[in-house]
Amino acid sequence: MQSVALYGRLVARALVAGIHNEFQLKPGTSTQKQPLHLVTGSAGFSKSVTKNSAFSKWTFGDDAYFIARSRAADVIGVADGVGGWRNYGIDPSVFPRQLMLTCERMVQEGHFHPQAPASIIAASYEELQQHKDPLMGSSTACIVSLHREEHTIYSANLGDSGFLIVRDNEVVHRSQEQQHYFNTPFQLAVAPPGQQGRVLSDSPEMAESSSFKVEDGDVIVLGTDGLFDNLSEDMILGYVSSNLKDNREESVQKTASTIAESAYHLSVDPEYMSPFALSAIDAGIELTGGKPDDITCIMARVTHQSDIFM
Amino acid sequence: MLFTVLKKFRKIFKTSHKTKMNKAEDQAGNDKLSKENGESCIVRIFGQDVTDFSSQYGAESRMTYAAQNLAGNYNIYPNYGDFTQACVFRTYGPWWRMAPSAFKPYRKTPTAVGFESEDYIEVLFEERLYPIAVQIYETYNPGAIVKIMASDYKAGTNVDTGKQSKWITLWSSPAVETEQRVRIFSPPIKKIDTRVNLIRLELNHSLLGYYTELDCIMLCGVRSRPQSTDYPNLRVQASQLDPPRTPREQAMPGFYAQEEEKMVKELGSLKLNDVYQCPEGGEGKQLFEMLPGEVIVMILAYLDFPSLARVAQTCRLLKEHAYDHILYLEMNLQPIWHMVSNTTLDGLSRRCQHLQRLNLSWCGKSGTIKGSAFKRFLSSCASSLVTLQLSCCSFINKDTMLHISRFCPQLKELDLSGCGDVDKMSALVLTPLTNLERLNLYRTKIDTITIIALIRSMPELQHLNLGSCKMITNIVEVVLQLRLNCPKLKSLDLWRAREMDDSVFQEFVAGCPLLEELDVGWCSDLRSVNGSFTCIAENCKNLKKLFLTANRTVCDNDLLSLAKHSRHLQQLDILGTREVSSKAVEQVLASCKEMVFFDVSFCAGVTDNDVALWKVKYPAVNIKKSFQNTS
Repeated sequence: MQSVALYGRLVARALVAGIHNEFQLKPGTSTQKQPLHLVTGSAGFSKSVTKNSAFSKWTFGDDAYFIARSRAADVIGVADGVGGWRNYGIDPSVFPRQLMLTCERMVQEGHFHPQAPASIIAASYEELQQHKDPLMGSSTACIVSLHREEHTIYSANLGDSGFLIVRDNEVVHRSQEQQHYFNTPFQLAVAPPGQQGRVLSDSPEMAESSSFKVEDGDVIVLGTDGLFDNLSEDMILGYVSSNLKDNREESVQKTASTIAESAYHLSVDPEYMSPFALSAIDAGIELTGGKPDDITCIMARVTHQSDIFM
Repeated sequence: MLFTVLKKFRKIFKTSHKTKMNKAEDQAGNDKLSKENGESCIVRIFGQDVTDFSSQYGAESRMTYAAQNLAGNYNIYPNYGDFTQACVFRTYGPWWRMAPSAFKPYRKTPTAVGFESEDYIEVLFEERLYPIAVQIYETYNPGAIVKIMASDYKAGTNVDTGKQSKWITLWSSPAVETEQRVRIFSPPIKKIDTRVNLIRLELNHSLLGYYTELDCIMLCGVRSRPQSTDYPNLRVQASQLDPPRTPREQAMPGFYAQEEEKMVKELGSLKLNDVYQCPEGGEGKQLFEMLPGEVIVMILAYLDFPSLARVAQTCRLLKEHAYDHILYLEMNLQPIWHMVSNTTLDGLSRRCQHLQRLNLSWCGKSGTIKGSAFKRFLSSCASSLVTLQLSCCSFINKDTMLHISRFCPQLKELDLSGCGDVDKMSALVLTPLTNLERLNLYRTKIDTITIIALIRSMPELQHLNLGSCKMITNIVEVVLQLRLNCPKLKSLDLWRAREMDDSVFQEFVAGCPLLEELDVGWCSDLRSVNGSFTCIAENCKNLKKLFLTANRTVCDNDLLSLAKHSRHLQQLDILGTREVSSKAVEQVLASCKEMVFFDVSFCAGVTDNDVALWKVKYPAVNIKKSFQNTS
C-alpha cells in the first residue's frame, strides 16, 4: 500500500518537476577530420515540490545546468546551489541558475577557450559580481567541453558534481570530487558584506581540470551530487548499456530520464545502502538510505554523425 | 526686425542645401535598373559585431551591461527592465551635465533639448544591403535614439588611400519622452542607393528617467537595388512583423512635412535682393551694406558653423564678415563630425587665429583627419586655446598629443576620453601642459606610471576623470599622488577602479577638502567598516555629487553621516547595497535640502512603497529605483 502511495507521489513529482529535453539544431560541418558532436539529453528532479516548483528553464530545485554550442565546441555544465542560504532569506537557486546562464551566454558568444573550461567558470563568476542587483549565494560547478576538431573533452570541476565517460560498458574517465570535509564540497560563493570570511568560498582557480581523448560512441554522464550519491557507477553503466543503443536524441533523452528517475526512487528509499551512506560510514557517521537531494543528469553521446541534427 | 531677417536667412541656407540633396536623391531613385525577381525579397540580419562606441556602463572586457551586447540575437525582448545582457551607456538624464566635472556647453551648439547626440554606437552586419528598415529592440527606457546613420564598412576603413567613409543619415529626430515599455523601434528611414553594412546609432539621454538599454539591432534590406516604386511595398513587408507603431514613429514623417511646408511658405515671402531705399541719401546701398560691420558680425554670431560657411558663399560683404575671427572663438564640430575632414581644418585655420574652445569629438573617423592636418591647424590656431575636446578621435596618438602639448601653452581643459591610443607610451608627452585644470581620460589605456607623471606635472588640476581606465593597476599610488600634488582637486571619477585601499583613500579625502564630486562607483575594494564613506562625509563639506554605485558595504551609518555633514549634497547613488534601511535613506532626504538626484536601485531595504511616499514628500528629488522584470 505504501509503495502505491509512493508511486503516485513520484508520478506527480515527475509531472511537476518536468523532464527537460533540449533539441538544439546546429549546422553540420563536414570536413575530412570528421568533427565530433554531442547528442544530449537531460533530466532531473527537485527534492521539494513546494516552494520553488515554479517551472523555470534549465533548473531542478537548487540545481541548474546548461547545454550550449559554439563554433568550436559543444559544452555542457551543471551547478548545485548550497541550500544553507535559505536561512539568510536568500533563494539558493538564483546563484547557480545565473552562473549557468552566464556560462551558456559565454559559450554562445564565443567568449571562451574550448580547451580551458575552467576559464568559463572563472569569468562567469566575475560576471556575477558585475550585476547591479547584489547576487548572494554559493554553488558548485562542473563543465565539460568537447573540442570538435581535436576530438578531446576538456573539463573543469569545482565541488562534488561530476561526470563519467563510458566506452564499451566501462568507465574510462571520471572527474575528481573536491570536498573540504564530508558532505561539504568546494564552492564558489558571493557573501553579504557582514558574512565575508565566515562563509566557505573557494576561488574558481581551485577547479580541477582534465582532458581526455574521446571517440565516436563514447557516452558522457554529467550530474550533480544528487545523482552520484544515489547511484553507483555500476548501476549507471547498467542503465547506459541497456538503454542507449543508438545516436538518436530520443534514446539519449530516454536514458537520461531513466537514470534520473531511478536515482530519485533510491534517494527516498530508507533501506537502500547508497554510495552516500557508504561514504558516511567511512567518515564515521552511521547512516542508511538514499540521499534526498535535487538530482540533475545530463547524458551526452559523442558522435561524428552530423546529419542527425538536420 | 534684425532677428527675423536673420532667422529667415538661416532657413534659406539650410533649406537650399536640403532641396539640393533631395534632388540628387530623386535622381538616384529614378535610375532604371533591371530588377531580378528572386533578389527583391527582404533579408533580415542581426548585428554581427559592435565596432565602435563612445561609452558603456559595463566594465571593459566584461559582458555585463557592455556595449558589445547590441550585437547578436535578442536576449531580453519581450521583457522590460534593467537586465545584465543589455547594451547600456554610461550616463542618462541631465545629471552628468549638471555636475561640477562637466565641460561648459558651447555657445553655438544647437540648443533644442534632446537634439544633440551624446553617445554613439556602431554595429557591423554580415552582409551589404540596400536598407529598407532598421529595427532596434529597446528593452528599458526607450526614446534615446535621435539619429540612425549608415555606411559601407570596407570603404570606410581604407585609411591608406584616404578614401573617405560616406556616412548617410537615414533618420533623425529630436529626443522625445517615450512611454516606458518594451518596443521595437523602427522609424521610417530615407531610401538610399548604396549598399551598407555598418549602422550607427546616435543617442541623446537628456529626457530619460534612467539608463536606456538596447537588446539588439536588426537590419532589413534587399540585395539588389530596388526601384523607388518598390519602396512602399518593401516597407510594408519589412514592417509586417513589427509591433504596433508608437505615437512618435507615426508622428515623424508628419513632423518633417509640416516643418518643410512652413519653410517653403516663409521662403516665398522673402526676397533676398530687396533693395531698401535709405531715406537720407543712402545712394541705393543695400540693407546689409548700411549696417556697421560690428552689427553684421553680431547677427552672424547667432549662426552655427555650417550656416556661416553657407553665408560666406553668398556675397563678398558677408564673406568678409563671416570670416571674422571673433566668430570663431568657440567651435563645436562634434554635431557635424561626419563633415569634418583635413580640408575642413585647413579651411578653418585661417579664421581661427583666436580660437579659445574647440570640440572635435568623434571627428576624423576612419582616417578623414590626418595627424599632419591636425598639426597644421594647431600650429596656426592653438596659441590661445583653453579647451580642447577630442573624445573618441582615432587620430589621437603620440604624435598628435605631442603637437597638443607643444602648440597649446594656454590649455586648461583637455578631453581625451575614449581615445584608444592614449596609453603608457604616448601620454607622457602631455606633461608640459602644466596649466591643465580639467582632464578627462575615461576609457583610455593610460597606465599607472604615466598618470602619476601627469599628476605630478599638473598642480592646477581640479577635475580628473579616470573612469574605466583598465590599465591603471595601482590606483592606490594614483590617489596618493593626487593628495600630494593636486590640492585644488574638485572632482574625481574613479568609476570601476580596482585595488583601492581604504586607508590611503581616507588620507586622500582628508587632504582634498575642496572636493565637490566623487564617483567611486563599482570600486568594490572600498569598505564601509573601515570608515571610508563616513570619512568622505566628515571631510568634504562642499560635496555635491557622490556615487557609491554597487558598493555592497554601504550601510546606515554612512547615510546618517552624510545626512549630518553633507549639507550641499545634490546627487547620491547607493545602488545595490543590502545594508541600508529605509529609515536612514529618509534621514538623508530630510537633511540634504539641495538634493535633486538619489539612486536607491536594488537596495533590499528600500521598498517601492517607500519610494512612492518619498516622491510625494520630497518632490524636488528624483528618486531612482530600477527593476528587473521577467514575465
